[in-house]
Amino acid sequence: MRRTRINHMPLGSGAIAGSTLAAGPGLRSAQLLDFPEITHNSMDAVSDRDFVAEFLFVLSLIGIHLSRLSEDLILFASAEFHFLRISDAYSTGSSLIATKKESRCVRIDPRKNGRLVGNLVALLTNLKGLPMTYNRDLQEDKDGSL
Amino acid sequence: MLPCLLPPVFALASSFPSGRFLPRCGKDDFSRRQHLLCSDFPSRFLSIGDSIDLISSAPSLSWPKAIGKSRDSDLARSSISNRNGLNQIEAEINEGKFPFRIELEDRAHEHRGGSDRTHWPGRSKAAYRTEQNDQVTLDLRLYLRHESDLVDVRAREFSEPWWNWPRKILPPFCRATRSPAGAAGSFLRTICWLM
Repeated sequence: MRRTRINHMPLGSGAIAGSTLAAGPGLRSAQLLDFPEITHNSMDAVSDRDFVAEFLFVLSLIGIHLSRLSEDLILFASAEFHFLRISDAYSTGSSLIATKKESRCVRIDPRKNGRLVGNLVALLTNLKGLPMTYNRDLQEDKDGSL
Repeated sequence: MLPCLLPPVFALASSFPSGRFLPRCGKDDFSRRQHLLCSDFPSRFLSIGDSIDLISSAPSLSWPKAIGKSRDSDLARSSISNRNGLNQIEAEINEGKFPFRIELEDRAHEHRGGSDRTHWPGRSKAAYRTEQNDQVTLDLRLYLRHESDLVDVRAREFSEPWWNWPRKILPPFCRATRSPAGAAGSFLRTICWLM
């Protein structure tokens, strides 16, 4: 996994201008926490959320691909194609037609993806227009990422 | 109406001891009132010119410096006590005896609360020593790095069967089996590579 953005240790940046505590951005602290790099600008370190946006983008992309795979399975399992048959363990009956077989898991999965894309868009919209250093708006990044 | 209110408001602001509401002061005024802030605080410590109100800024700078110099102060003792407590907590966690309480897990908040009770109002002058903006982003980085590891593992586990079996479970003429690069597993392999 590529971690060029997330693998920078910001400890010691304080609120904006560093800290007098001993736990500064030293290489020893970075080694203990397994960070190959440290942040070089304290103002940017406390305001940077690129790694969150990247993580949410990757999750959204995974969701989109799973959604497309699920749609393929739904299409191939339909009566018109009939390329494959989904096991009863992953299927239920229809609420209206008891004898109808519906593959619930692959039908729900594509609809879940909208939430992932929504988290990404919400974060990017929140970051747009924020000035340098920490802003209280950044507290909103926890909703989508956690 | 407004002009007649200005003189009493200005007089009230001028009598405020912190200097926050005073007009900007020169270095002469700062030196004259230096003994009110900290006796051993050197004026050369400040090189901020006229860009910041010196009277307002000096307590914020002198208080942590005074704390750092006083080895036998209450704060120094509490620092040692905190360190011993953290070591004890670490030992109890390793032994599985530590009772986690969610409301006490915000270390910075608890630290501030304790300082407020014992060292107010000096604590407010040293507030930046406990700022946790860097700790928040560090915690977020550690958490997301751990989560991305899990996502990576799960994506690889999920993609392996699709990489090996598309020709068995899918028809031979669909796009997932016609070209290796377009096989179903390659979607998730691409994602793993991107991450």
